[in-house]
Amino acid sequence: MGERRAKTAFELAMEKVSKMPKLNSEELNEERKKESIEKGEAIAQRYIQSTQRKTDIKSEIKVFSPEQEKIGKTAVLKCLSQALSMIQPEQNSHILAGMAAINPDISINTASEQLDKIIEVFHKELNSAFASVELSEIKRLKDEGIAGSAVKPNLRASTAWHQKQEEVIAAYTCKLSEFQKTLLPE
Amino acid sequence: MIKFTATTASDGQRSHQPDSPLSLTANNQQNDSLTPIMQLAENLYAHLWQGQDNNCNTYLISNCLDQGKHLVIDPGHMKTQGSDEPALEMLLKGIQGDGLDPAAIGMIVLTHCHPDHIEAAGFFQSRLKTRIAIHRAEAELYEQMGGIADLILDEGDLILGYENPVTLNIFHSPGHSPGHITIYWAAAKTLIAGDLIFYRSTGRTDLPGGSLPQMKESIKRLSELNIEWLLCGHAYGNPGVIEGKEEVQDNFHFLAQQLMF
Repeated sequence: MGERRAKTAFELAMEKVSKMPKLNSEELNEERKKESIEKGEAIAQRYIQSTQRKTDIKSEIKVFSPEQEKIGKTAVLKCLSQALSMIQPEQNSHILAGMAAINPDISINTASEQLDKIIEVFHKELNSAFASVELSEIKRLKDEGIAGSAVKPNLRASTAWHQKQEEVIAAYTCKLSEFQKTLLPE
Repeated sequence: MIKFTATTASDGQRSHQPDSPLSLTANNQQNDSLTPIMQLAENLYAHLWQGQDNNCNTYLISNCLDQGKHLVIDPGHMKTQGSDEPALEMLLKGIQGDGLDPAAIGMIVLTHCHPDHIEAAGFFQSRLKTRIAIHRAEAELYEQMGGIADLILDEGDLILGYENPVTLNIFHSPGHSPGHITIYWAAAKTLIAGDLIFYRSTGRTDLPGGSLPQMKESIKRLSELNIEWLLCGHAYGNPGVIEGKEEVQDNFHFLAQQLMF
């Protein structure tokens, strides 16, 4: 009788893996697609967070194999475009620069102008909504017998303001979303 | 010295003293609490805390808002920290004892955002939709402590009511806290001082946001006002109300010497 030795954990794991059913080509494609999207999103996130120390996004996307490149690039662009913000627009030009670096169809100047316009009108509308709600709250306070230069309604506590704010944000989120689509490859 | 004049009428209602609109009266009827209530003017009431634990004095200006609603300044604790004295319950009883309806409190002004001044405000806001007002510089802290102010105060005039409105001057008086306010009612020569000024002492400046230089500056500014009633946030060493122009000025001189301004 030959000498029997206990199997290592690695050997046991490999045995288990070999018994698992193999991925068919469709599943394999799906897995590769998923992997490309995840890689793309990670590249985009790293770029978004690196406003101080500029990441070379162009060289980062070389990580994709030729067959992964299209899906990966689209994932990067999608993720970057979704980070464009009307409320905190400080990073927008950094994001657009990143997008233009990997999609030559994007003109930074045109995209910036379009986005700035959306943000400008959004803030105008938000400010005008704020002023209008504030005015009606001041009138309500006067009716309650509360007035004077010392007192202002705190719209953070106003249901009317929260509703109006949500309405304006929803309307302009639609506009932003249409703009974001124009930045993605067909 | 503060004079307490019992004016409880036989029907249990407080009687006013028409020849002395600013006379100090005590009213303990219908009120088994420890809080003596003083009516300083026809529509100004002081609820002076005298429990065992710490709590603030509360002041009330009656019938100054629409539909005869009242303004309360610093409602204090719900229950005191330590021995759970029912501070709010005592205040409500006191207000009822004044012949006023606590349900008619339409607005609360908070002199600053410390628990012993603000805690009961939420009760009125949630039950009665009472408007809560606090200085801009304390509003964020108030939110962090779980409240939300309906009104933001800055230095200026707060005008209450339509006919014969009550005009209060809101002074930003930092020192005890960054957004501490004091409320000056010029027509009644009354200053509601929160925790800035006490009898022969001042509020603490070693709490977060406190500042001795700001405290000095705030007190110096207020010392120039024409004050006959100085209503303190706590009754430290005296009943909490400093009465008489001379006494008030004397207190300011004492503080000026102590604080060297």
